Amino acid sequence: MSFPTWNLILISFTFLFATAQVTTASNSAALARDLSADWQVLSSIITCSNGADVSCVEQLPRFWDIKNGGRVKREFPDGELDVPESISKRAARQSDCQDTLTAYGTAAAAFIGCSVDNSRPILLCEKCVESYLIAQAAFVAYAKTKDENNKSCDDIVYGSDLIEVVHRANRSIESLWGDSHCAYCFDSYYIRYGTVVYSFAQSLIVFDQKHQNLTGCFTDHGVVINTGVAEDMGNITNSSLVCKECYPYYKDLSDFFLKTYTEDITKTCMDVVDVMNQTRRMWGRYFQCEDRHPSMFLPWTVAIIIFASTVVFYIGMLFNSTFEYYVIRRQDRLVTSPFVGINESTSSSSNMSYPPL
Amino acid sequence: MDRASDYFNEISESEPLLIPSSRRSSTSSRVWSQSPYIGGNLEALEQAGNLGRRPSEFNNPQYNSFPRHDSFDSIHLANGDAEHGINRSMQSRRETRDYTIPNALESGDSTLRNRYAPLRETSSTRVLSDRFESLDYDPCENSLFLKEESQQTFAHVNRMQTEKWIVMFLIGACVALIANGVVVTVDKISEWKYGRLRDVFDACSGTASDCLVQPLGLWVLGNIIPTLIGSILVVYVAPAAGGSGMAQVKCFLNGVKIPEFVRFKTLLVKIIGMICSLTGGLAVGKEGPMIHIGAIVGAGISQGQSTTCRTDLHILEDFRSDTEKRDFVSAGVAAGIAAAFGAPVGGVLLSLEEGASFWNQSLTWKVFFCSLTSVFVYNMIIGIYQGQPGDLSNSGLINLGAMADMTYLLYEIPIFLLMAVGGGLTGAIFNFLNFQLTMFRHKHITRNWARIMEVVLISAVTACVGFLLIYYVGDCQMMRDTSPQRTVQMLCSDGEYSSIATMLFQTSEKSLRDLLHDEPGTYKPLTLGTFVVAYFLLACWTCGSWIPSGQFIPGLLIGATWGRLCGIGVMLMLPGVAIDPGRYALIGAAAQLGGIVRMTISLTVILIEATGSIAFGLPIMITLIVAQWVGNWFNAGLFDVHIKLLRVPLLEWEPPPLSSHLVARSVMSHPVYTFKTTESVGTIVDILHKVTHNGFAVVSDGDIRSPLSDTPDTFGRMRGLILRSQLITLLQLKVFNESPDIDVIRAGLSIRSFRDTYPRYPSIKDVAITDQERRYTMDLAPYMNPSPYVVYMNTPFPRLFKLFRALGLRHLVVVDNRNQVVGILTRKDLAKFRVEMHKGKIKVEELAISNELAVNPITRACP
Repeated sequence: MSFPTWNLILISFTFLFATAQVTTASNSAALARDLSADWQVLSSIITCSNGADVSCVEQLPRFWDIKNGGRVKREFPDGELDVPESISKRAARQSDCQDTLTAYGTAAAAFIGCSVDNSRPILLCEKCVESYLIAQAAFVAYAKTKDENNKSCDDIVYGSDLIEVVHRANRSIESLWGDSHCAYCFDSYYIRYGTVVYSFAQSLIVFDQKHQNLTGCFTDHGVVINTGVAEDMGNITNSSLVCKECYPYYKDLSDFFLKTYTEDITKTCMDVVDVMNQTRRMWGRYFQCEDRHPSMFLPWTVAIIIFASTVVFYIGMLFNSTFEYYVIRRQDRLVTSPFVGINESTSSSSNMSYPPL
Repeated sequence: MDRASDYFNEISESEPLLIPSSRRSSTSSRVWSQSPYIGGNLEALEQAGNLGRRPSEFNNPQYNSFPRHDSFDSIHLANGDAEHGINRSMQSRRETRDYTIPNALESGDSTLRNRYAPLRETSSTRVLSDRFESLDYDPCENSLFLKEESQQTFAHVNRMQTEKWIVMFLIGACVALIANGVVVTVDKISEWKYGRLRDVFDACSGTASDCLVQPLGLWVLGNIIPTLIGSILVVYVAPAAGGSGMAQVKCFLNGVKIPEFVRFKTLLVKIIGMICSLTGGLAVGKEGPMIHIGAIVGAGISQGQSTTCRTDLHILEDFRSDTEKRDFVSAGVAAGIAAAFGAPVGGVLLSLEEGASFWNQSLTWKVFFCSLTSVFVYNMIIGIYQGQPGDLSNSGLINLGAMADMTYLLYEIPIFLLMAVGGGLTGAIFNFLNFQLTMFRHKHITRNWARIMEVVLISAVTACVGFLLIYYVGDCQMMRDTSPQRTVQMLCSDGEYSSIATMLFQTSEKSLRDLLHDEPGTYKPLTLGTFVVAYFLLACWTCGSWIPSGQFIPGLLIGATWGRLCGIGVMLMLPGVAIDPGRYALIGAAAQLGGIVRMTISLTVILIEATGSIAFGLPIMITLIVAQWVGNWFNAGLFDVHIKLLRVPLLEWEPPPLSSHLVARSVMSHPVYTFKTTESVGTIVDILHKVTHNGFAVVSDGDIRSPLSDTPDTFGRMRGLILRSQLITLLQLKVFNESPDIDVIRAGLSIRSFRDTYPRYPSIKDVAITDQERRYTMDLAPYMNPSPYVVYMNTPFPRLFKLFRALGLRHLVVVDNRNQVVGILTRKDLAKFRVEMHKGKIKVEELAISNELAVNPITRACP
């Protein structure tokens, strides 16, 4: 008997068994529908199990395909399948929701673009506060908008897809802003009647001023600072001069930073931290302004004295130790020993080679 | 000669010794002055100047090759003349063996020197000390006990149960409070110390002058001063507080009384010493000492009295016995672990693992309650300290921090296994080095000043090594944090911090946490490599010195460091795969600590609890198992090594394998001292003065042995067992039959009279007996234990062992088939058969038992 025949028998058994479970007419009707659907799939598999028929692969339902250089693209015949996306899109289109969604998308994209633009050096808070506030406002607007059925857009969109695209986008914006501790860069920032209003924190202004002083000093001495990336600085020819001339500014900036910001890293504006870090790196590593190689002569002397005294101590102890006596106790036994007579009376003082335990 | 005999006299009259190997027989005509007791021979040996040792080949008999003729010897000899049965047989037996001490020795036969080949012991761990007594875990149901019990009501029984729960709560809370105190103090002092140090360092490092000696000097001083205080306290006030106490806890739970181990004085020194050693920057942890502290608190609170402080609150008097105390000590140990690691279940399991024989569900439940209380109280207080009252989530002295996202893949398991093998090997090396070092210490560093000096040198060298590491390992990382502890700049450029200095300038717990959690790029391999070598050697050196020091954190830290190194290696080998080196650090930590201490179940649970990674349980467990196996191939765990060095008669979990052919008759002490049910006071006093044994069989008159019988000499028909402490109490209260007011005395006698002297029983020297009273008699029957455990002569060794281990016995009387006492067994008679598994060979060796002549303070064990 060939393989397909076995399959057929197996499937008919399954059919019979399943049908036997059915008691009501309605159930059997539904079941019959399901089974007929199953049959379509199964029959294709059965026919294909005849052999390595290439065409069989084509018959299997195929929704996913890899095209366009590895990108996953969804591909299915129009009208055959309803996908959640198109449903929500349709639902959103019916109301004003799509408009707010689009607005939010634009605003979010603007903020993300701005933050990436200002990622080196990090000036995220200073430069992107506007787009951040706009994006936030757009999100609020989207969340508040309701369709004609008095249902909020948020509910429609939120409830109808699995990955919550909008919320996820908003969360990432929030976390970017939050992790940068941007709130500490400002005294206040808000958006009112479509106008963005913000004022930098006083410490940030002072810090910026001091930083500009230092940068000014650098440029005065012919150092070109491009994009603030310290690694791209190129050759420094007159670093000793820079070190000497700009030290007051550097010290001023550094002291101000240490005084103002070391309380708690989680309450320090990332812009400031990053600028300070870059400046310090530049100062220490690229201008090599500080000679951090103090003499080790005296420390080595102390260390050698300590090491030597340790060695002397142990050698001294080796030759100069007190012996403690201990004596092996005689044990009285009926049977002299279960093994050999090791427990018969022997006794010993701990001379030299016997550790006086 | 004088010295030896002095020593001997001292020991025989001071603290009672454990082994009741005695040779008086009630039927023997031997008198005391002629007793062949060891003292006489010892003097002779001293005189002859050759305290001989047994030939070395006799030291480690293999089981399958030991000669069996001994027993035939004695049986044959016992068939001798009826009239002189005992004397003759013992005498001739002694003469037949060439390594015994013949009488010729007393005449100074110099040729004997050759016959006594010196014992070439590679180590003196093959000796048990008779300084250690057993604890009385077996209640004595004498008539007084029955009388008291008959008067008890439901209310009394109920109250006792309630009190137990209350005491458990108090133990947990107390241990947690101590842990809080220690952690806060150490935190504050270390922060201050390292803060100053950092300032001096940073101020100097910018210049080119020779000022670096200032931070070095400060560092050395900052290490020396606390450790000096700590070691002086330990050496001069409470030697038992040295080390971690883990080994001693293990012995205590096993049923061995460790002198001064649970004193209040020891507790105070332990706490202060622990703070000192931690602030002194030594490579130690506080988890082992916390276990010891827990044990002392458990033993202390449950008693309602302190002998050191001479206060007696007259509460909880029902708990004044070794049996009850043991339960509370178990609870204290669990609470200590729970507070230290934030691992309540791990604590319970550690108690179970180390003291496994005496457990039941009800006790487990109480101990669990105790350890959970401990964690709760600890968290509550630490929450208040950190300014978040009500926050109960910050648990553990070493808060390892929850390891989030502990996913691992199948292909990582072999890597973990390799790391486990590495941990087992390095653990074995650690134990070997520490063993040699401890031997050296016992042998050569015996003076008090030298012991203190050693600790001081260790702390000074620790500072120097740290300093040199910081100077020469230039691992500068971008500043990630501005908190002062994380920004130790040292010789790095501005805006960078030195990662090695950060590791050294904080407590070991925090370094460990950083190693588990920091970002992959935080440490350079060179930093980790040099640090791990230096720390390994320092930790090994520190372990066992005269200052409280735990071994858990150093083990974990060493392992985490090289584990992280492995993680970095794997990252380099498998580019593009997301590897979290913190995960490897955790496995390394488990492997290293498992390789050192060889604990399995409790360590697994402790690590799981401390890191909150249940999913990672199996890898941790596999790692620990493999590390233990690999380590055991070479040597024993650190605690076991130190227990051997302490020469404690510890009974393992299981009887030694291949020991079933040993029977009671071949391992028991014989002959034995016995008392008759009505015994003369003079005899009792004399025997108590003469010997150091703690248990005596009480007999009625024995029957006359048939001359043709091949049974050994007996000492009367078994009636019961009486303890030395009971006898002394009876003597002190003068319960003599001929006393004029004997009825009044008897009426006033209750079980309480015996309990009042617990735990420090008076010595026989404290008893004043007049000559007239010596002629009185004493009736022992009502006070002895009328139903002690007895065994037959042919009871196999494993059965004896299980009896001792499971019931926590102290004495086991051996009788023949006519219920005649023929011998007595104690813990040491069993513990001296020890199985050694070493490099794939198994052997059972019989250990010698030493007379502790000089009463030395207890030798230290670091774990």
